[in-house]
Amino acid sequence: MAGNSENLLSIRDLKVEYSSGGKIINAVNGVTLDLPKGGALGLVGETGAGKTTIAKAILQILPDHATRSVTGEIFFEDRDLLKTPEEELQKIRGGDISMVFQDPMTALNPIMTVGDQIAEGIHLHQNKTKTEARQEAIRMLETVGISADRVDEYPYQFSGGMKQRVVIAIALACAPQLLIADEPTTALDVTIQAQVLDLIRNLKESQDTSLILITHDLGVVAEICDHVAVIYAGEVVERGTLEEIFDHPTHPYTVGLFGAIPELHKKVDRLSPIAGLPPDPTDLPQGCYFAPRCPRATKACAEKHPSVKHLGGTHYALCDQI
Amino acid sequence: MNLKKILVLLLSLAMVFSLAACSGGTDEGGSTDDGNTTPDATEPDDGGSTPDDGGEQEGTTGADSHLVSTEFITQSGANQDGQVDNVVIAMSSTSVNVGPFAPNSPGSVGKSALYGKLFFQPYSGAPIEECIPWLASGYEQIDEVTYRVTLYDYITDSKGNQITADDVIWSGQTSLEIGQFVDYGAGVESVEKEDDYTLVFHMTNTSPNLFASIVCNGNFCIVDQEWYEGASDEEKSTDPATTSAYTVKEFVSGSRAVLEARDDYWQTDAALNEGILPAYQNVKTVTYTAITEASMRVIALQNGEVDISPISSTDLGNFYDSATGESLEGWTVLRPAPTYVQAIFPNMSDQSIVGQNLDLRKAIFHALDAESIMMAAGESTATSILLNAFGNPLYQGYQSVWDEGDYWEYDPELASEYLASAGFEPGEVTVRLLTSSGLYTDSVRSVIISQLNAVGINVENISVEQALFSTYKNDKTVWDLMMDLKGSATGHIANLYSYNFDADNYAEGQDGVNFWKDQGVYDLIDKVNDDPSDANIQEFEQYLRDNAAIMGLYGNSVINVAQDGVTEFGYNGMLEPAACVYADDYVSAGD
Amino acid sequence: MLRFIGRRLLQMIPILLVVAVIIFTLMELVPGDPVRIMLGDFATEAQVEEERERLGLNRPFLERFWEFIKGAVQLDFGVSYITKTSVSDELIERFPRTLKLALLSICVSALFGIPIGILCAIKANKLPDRIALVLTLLCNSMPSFWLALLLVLLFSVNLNWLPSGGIGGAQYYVLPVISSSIGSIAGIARQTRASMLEVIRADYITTAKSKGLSQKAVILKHALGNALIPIITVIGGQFSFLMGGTTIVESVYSFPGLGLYIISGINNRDYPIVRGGVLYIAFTFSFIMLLIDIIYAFVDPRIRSQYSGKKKKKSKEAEAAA
Repeated sequence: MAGNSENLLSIRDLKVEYSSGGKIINAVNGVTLDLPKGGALGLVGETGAGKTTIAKAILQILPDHATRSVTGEIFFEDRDLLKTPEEELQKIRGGDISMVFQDPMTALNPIMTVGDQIAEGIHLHQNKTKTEARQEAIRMLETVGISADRVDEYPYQFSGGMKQRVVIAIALACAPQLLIADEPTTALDVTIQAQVLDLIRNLKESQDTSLILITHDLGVVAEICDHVAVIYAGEVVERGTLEEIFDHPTHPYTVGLFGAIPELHKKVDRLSPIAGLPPDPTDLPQGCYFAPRCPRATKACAEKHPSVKHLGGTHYALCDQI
Repeated sequence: MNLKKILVLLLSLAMVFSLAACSGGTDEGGSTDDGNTTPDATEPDDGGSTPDDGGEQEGTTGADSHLVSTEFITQSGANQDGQVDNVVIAMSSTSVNVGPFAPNSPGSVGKSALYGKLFFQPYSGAPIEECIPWLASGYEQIDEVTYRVTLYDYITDSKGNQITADDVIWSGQTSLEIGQFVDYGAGVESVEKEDDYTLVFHMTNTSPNLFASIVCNGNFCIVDQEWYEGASDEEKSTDPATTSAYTVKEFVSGSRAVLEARDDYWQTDAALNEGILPAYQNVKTVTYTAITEASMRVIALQNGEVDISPISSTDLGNFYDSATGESLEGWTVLRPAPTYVQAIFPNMSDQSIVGQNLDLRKAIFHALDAESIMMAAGESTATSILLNAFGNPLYQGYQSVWDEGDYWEYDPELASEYLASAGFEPGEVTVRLLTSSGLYTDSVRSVIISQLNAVGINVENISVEQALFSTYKNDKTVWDLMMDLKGSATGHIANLYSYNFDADNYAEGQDGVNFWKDQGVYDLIDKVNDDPSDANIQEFEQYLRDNAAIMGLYGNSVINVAQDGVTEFGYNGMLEPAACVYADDYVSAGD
Repeated sequence: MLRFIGRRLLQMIPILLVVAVIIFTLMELVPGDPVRIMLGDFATEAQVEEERERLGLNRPFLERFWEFIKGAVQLDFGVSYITKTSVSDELIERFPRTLKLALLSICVSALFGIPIGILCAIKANKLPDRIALVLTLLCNSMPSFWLALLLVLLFSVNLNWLPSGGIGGAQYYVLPVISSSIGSIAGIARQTRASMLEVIRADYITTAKSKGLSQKAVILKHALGNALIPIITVIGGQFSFLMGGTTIVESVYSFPGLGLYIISGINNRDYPIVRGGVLYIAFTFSFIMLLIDIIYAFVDPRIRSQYSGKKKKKSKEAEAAA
């Protein structure tokens, strides 16, 4: 399904390999996703599953020196981003697709004022003069809840939560069509988390931005997203709408994730995590990557790589045992 | 990683090879600056009296004459019709200055072109009878220590001031007070003014040639008192009022001085100027430029950036063929009469085993070969003379009979015998050798050490920088043997004796240059100074030999090289560019 | 900020005082008698003693020291024992020459070193990086004396383009500057490379890239500014080294600067020269260090705020309000 007018973003069989110290790291192993216009897709998975890599692959900002190969297709509005030349990509980054990063403490340039950092993108993508861009930047600051007289302050003068707001302001300054938020609240306190999420949701609605939210927190997904994709070992093991996934988790991994969430009203002595650890990306098992930890694995699972099963609607799962 | 290490290794090897290859280049013997920093103030010429002496090539002077090898020059230069525009001269020191009361070290700006003296000395150490009246019109010796001097009454400096007897007295006194002309204080008891153009000098003693050495002295620069006292510091150092034939056109401290011939030089009578080299004015503009590194001066000469330059004796091969005795094509070489005395001094005090033991000293002297030491210093017979006494054949009072006899012959067997009779087994005794690393290369020390080792005398090598050396040499606990150079302030050998061995000239308890406390030598010094007869002088030298108190090695001087457009040097112990003879097709580096 | 500068300037006074004490005492303790050297070998003991008296060298230590300090404060360092010229006048003439030489050299070094370092960082571990590192290693290993002589042989003797020494116009500075600057290029390039490599992997660089900035803009605008602090430190160190270390170059080119002057002073135990010269250098060092610190403040606002003593302004309150 190439270039679907309903889908803002379509990823087809994306594979990314890193190289480090002579070893090959298979970070992303054939990911296929769709994001409809205006939709909010949650990418869920454990640390190291490959979620950030997918995000960076979309923007084509994978680290040059470490990246060995990127194959597949990423369609954004009819264009395959993997085949788009650099100059055009620079227009897309920040202008059409923006990213909010995980660690607000280090995401901002310490020696530039926040106003300049926001205005930079505006000046770059929109034909505005420096003064106009600055005005826009001040407006963005206020939109994210920072008072305008702080426009010439430096990042070190802001707390973590405020910094993240600035990052969001930078990302949304040019009203992009797609915002990718990579664990935007992971590094923040719970109370601030709520504020930031609210902010993201509001901006998404007011600017009609599509969203890809990367997180390992199912609660956050429930709050904001309407589509979900579960990532394990660089693959999409299950995807669908929010209801499809939350009401009918099918893949053993997804089931395990939900099972690991403690329920407040039940008295429980021990948590029930998923046994085992994710596989080593330099040495992936033959067959199903989840098989070593899967309660339902059979001998065949360990030998043959599973195929995608259509479970109805937009609900897909990557398993042979369902 | 490995690649990097290999590259580093290759680079180091490349550097080593290139260094080895380079040394075969411009410098013979490879040393770029073999301690030849010609340290300005440490040249024995400081304090101003050039220890040169005339040995006329023909004719006689003083008590006894000695025919020097005709290769060495004691004076040269001539008056030329016409005037060339430029000459560029390299200096070896950056302590250059053009003021009247500042040092006049060799390798620096020639002060006689700027400031007149009472008399002009045609060659170093010339006696007063041969000196040419310059600012003075003449002298009259009243008694042993008193001289009357008359001045010309029309001397004006470059700013129009008149020079009178007051100015002369004041100039001498100021020069002494500033610390530049210490000999003035030592030699002149007092000076009186008889009238505006007549003075009377009372000398302190009857040392031969004393009067000439004072009134012709390079440090006795005569300037007008009112001008000097009224002038700003800047004017004094960049645009002084000069009494000789040149003025200062430009002065860049530490780097350059440009002199220009005066049109209004006060002595217009050509006959009276005869013999006064600076007054010849053969060149209009003289540029002195400082180049401190010896090798760079050679480069500057070869590059045509300078016309004349002093060079170190190790670089002589670039300009002169010692085998044939001819300058190489394109160059004129000035090899001045060697006037220093390089000598080995044994420590004669009771603090040193050498001082206690006459036979040990004799052993040492016979173990040493002056010629190989001289060669190790980079000198050759083209640049220096081997000595046959403690004294230089060019000094007045030198006895030619010394050249006919033996003088501490190089005889290792005899040395071993003396060592035995001194009571030492070979290898038993160690002497401490003190030398200045600024004056001598390591080769010189190696030769001395190996020659002494060869007869069984061990040597402890104490080689220190010049400043430290000048302190250590006065300390009788530090050394047993010392090599150093000496000269004669007056050009007469008597001065060499009294300077070195007269305890009065040294600190309390020091007893002379090598701590020799001996009434016999003191008496002989007085005898020679009262009556410098041949007999007395010979007696003195014999006394030195009998006591093995000192050994003269060789005498040397500073070599100058010029492009061959300069056909003859102007020289009287100092370089006089105004009296150089320039060829018709002469083109200067400064043109 | 001004208060900071003022404080630092005041701090220089005790530093200079300590230097004065040290150099004064040191020269007195070093063996070697200036009067002997001044008067030469043929002065008798009586003459030496008289001169010593005249120069006032027999007076008590403290009296002479006090006189020295009094003079130094008025920038009068007395008269050279050897040349009898005013030391301050000489220093005033020579100091700017050495200063110019050092400044030009450091500018040339930085001009070449920083771009080379950036290039190496961008192409880390690839061929251009390795070549550049070898070349800088070569430059660093060349002894300046050797290099200076080679340059003279080539440019003066063989090609006759430049004078072999002296002072006069701009052409007299060319060879000395080249000789002095080459050694520093390596140090600056390496530090730039190291700093840039560290900075390039920072998160804010990814942010900058994700805004759609070109590679050049990312490097020059975001990376370089942050990498500058250690580079500036290295440059400052090299400059200080040059100020004292131009002696070799000055020696070869007969360049009448501060280095040769002080060396001749030391060799001749010419106390006034050494004292005055060393104080000049000490002052320059302190001043350069102050300048470096001021430059830090310009480059990095966090440091600027430290100097001004500003706190993390009201950010906590503002956040609570938001």
